Amino acid sequence: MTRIAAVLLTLSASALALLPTTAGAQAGDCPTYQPTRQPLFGELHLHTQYSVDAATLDTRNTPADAYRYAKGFKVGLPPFINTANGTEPGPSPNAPSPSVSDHPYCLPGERCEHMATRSIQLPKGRALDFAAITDHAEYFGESNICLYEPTRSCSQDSDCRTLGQACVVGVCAPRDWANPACVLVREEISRLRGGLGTNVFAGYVATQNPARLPFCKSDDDPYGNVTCRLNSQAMWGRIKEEANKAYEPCRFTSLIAYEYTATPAMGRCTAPSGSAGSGLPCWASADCTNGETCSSGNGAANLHRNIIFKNDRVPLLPVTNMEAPTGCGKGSDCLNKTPLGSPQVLLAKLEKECVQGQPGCDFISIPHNSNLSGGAMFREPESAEEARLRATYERLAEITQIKGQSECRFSPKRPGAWGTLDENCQFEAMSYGRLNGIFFDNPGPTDVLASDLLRNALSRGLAFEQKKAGAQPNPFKVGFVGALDNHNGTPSATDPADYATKGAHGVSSFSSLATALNQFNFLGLETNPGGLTGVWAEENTRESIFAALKRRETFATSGTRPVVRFFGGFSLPNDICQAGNFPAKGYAGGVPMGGTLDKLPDASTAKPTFAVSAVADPGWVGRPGTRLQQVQIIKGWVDAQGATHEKVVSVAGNTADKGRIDPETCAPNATAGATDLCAVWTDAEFNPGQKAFYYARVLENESCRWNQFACNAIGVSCKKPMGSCGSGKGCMSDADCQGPADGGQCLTPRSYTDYEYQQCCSGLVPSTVQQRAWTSPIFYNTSSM
Amino acid sequence: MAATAGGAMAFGRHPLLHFVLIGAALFAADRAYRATRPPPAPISVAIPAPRPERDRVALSAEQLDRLRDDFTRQFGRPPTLEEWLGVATLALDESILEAEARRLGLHRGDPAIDRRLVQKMRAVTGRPGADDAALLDEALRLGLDDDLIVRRLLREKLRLALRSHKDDATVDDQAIGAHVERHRDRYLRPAWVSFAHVFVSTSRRGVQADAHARALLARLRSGVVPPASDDLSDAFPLGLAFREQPEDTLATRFGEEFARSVSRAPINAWSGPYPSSLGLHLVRTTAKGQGSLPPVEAVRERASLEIREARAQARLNEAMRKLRADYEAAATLAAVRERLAATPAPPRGKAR
Repeated sequence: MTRIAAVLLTLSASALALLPTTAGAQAGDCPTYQPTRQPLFGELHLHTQYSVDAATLDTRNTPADAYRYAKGFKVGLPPFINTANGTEPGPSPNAPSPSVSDHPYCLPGERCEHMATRSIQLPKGRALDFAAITDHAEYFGESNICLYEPTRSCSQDSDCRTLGQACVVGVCAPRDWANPACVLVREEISRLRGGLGTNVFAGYVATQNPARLPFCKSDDDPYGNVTCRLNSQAMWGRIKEEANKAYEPCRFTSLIAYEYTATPAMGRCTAPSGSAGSGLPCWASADCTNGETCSSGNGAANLHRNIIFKNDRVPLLPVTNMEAPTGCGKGSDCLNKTPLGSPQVLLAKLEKECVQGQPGCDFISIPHNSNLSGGAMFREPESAEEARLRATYERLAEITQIKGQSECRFSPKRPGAWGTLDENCQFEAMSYGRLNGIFFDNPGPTDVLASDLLRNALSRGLAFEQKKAGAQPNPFKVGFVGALDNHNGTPSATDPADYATKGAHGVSSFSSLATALNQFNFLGLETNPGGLTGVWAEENTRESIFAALKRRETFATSGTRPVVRFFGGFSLPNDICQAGNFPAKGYAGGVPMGGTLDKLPDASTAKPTFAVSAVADPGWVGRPGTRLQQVQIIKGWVDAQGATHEKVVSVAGNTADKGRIDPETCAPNATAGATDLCAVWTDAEFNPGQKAFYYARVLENESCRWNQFACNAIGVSCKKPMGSCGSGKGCMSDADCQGPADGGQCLTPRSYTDYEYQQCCSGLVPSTVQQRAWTSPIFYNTSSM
Repeated sequence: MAATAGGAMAFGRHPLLHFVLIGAALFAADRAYRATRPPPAPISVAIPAPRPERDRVALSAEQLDRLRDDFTRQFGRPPTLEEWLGVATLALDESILEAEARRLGLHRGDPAIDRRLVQKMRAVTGRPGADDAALLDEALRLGLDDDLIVRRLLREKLRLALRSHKDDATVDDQAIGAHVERHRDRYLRPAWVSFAHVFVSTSRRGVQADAHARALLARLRSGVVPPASDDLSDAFPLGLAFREQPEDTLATRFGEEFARSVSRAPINAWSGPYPSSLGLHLVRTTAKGQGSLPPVEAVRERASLEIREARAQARLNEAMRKLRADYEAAATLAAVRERLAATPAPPRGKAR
């Protein structure tokens, strides 16, 4: 194809993409409009078939299915089996070939080529208010070309009138569909699932110069050659279209989004003495300080971001790690010379293409799993431009998801190793700090770096701002959201009992209970069902929800649905919890979660007051929610020398009683704790010259962790021995059955294996947890506005 | 990057790595890519006139056995007589469609079918240079068009033809209104209620909560109206006034019991206390809406689609009914039933 034709095709496709397809709702249009804002629960991180990794896990749900699930409808899960008998209506031979496959399937018991063998549905009353589906945008083109499922037969190219497609071996499919690379991929998916060839290929996209795959590559265009570009556009267009179709203003909001998936396999700085050293990330020794050198390390740094758009004014193509790799530091031979691990190129490109390039376009970038970034997520900006971009667009961070929480970390074996003595940080912490899945029995601060944790990042952001004396903004002024990062296409599937049987990663993670309970499985025992985001918005529309995300008026939960409100101010009434309209008084006398308190005039001696009101998750019919144990306020600040400090104050509830439950029944404790808590707290140690942040954390009573539901389902009781000898005597191994009538063998019941018993009773992860909610911080700014 | 063996194995289970792997596989095989072949030329064949006669379509013993075996493979057990007859009925419909499509000559002049036949014939005869039209003619004479793909294409072509109608595009508002009315359950918007409340915290007031609530209710009834009533409420994070809340939203936030109570609460008067999952509430509803059907303009697109689909399905059903009569399906099925009833069921337990 000639260059001119390629340009024409590109232009026509871009013209189409520019047309808005949904009229924006006007503020106040909704009958349920709430001037003091309402809590809306949603998903901000989720994968479907359109992510290559989810496709290889046999996920067939597309974004359209994911939205249906979010609205409360049933969807299917793999494995899929062929139950067709040839009598099902096939696709019409005259219908145009779709530019992106629908990946159809049917539910258990129905007949079709891909019948789901499992299905999943949210309980009544637990449908979501909003969702952003965030497929990995890298390889949109490649995966649409290779994983396309043709529906239309043809005899020549002119039979296929779909952009980017041709008549390939008798069917309309993307050009290159039959190229040997793609054929291999389709044939090899089942083997790839087994992790074949890991060492040979792992470095390909994890390098400092990630690139398109060769058959898509173009010397002139970073988005690839014409076929690749058209297929990327088709995929992105479909994502946009499915989101627009799912949008029901006032009832359900879909946000157009994608995930930027930078995963550089960087090394770690190690001390010359051979001791662990700082463990900080590096491509070359020039990136290390204090005489340390760069050694290769396991795994890769998770520098992923979810990019969420305000409306359907979005760039023609998503900006991915291919076109905008993270910076690769000082010594490395690479193309992007911006600071190590920096999102500067990504944010600058998005600013140019979206905010400046398209009227009405706006976005936010939400980093996730800083806990697995190997020290790279929150490195100090090296220029004012980098700080500005981060401060402008990275207003939120994912504090919790399936692969662990990133708030803070505490271990009684290493008190203070991560800068806190807060025991409630022992919650859903992964035992490693990079994307490699090695289980550590007693991880240390060079395995998981303190700088990767959000509470520390918030303090360091304040310290950075102070050091720059107003010349540069705080680059880490982030609020909190929670999400799943599930690869099943099922947003907010956070029910622990469901997670125990359905997992989150297609066919791979929970193909058997033994894999689910395996701590060495990257997606096994240490993972959790994932979190949720609550936003305080006037109404359920794209505009209202995006505005809430931007002003950080958000809270994260670990998957349950308590509701929490948090205000801070110098004139909040002290009796705000006693009586009256809490939200109205909160807005009148202070700022909400995510807001900023500015310094009062110098003469003022006033101290800020914080008010928090929370109600428990109401649960659903047949499954009452867990009551609240306590509410805490966490303060972090910087002193005059630039050192960071923190303090955790319990302001409401009962710190001693966690509402104990019997893990073998998992029934909630119906008496301990509270269904609502409210507290007012004044910071008596407030120093108007010190920058600070404050956030509230709401802890529920104890409830069963998902693994306990799994263990209960197979009848494991850790109070009893694993099996029994022939005599009926309890035993843990054959050695216990050597008595005359014991028969020499310790037999386990048929419902579980010895491995499952051992994993259930190992104590590697707790059997109960305290689910929780975190509000976005309120920031105190030492300069008055 | 040097990874330890254990690390590499664990890394291999990470979905993101599959992401990497699939890319690598693409990369690895890319070099072998040999791209293009010349586009095939169209073939022209005259379409013959329909043959007038319709012959009864039968199901052979082999076909019936295959249906039973397919069923057994898919469901892990042999079909019951009724299930067997069920799949036989479906198969008969397919055969009728196929026979009718051939009678109408739908297999002639279809580029996809012709191309397939020419390719098959070329492979069979080993004459790569032969003329397309000659090959096609030979293929048809040899009956090579009796294959799975051709049969499926034929059935779908006829189905599509039987479903379609020239007036398909137009659906008037009257039809939409009638459709929405007929499918009320699908279109009904839930009932809603606007209300103010005074929250009485059971966590804060303990066993006194109910008594406090009743005392407060008396005060409210002495003439306190919103927003003055706000001052009597315990702190409540969701606010004290709600507009046009659908019942399902209320149930999600407060529990089902409360949603039911509020929908029944008297209008413009304080009542309660109503328990929710969160505490006690004294409620004053200000407006209520019954579940209502949306206006036509709000559902035009969705309803039109459904109506067109229903009409197409009805046309297909009617056409199938006629075809079954023309092809004497009832007689065939009676014979099939007789034969199946006489066939012993295969032994159980060998399904897998």
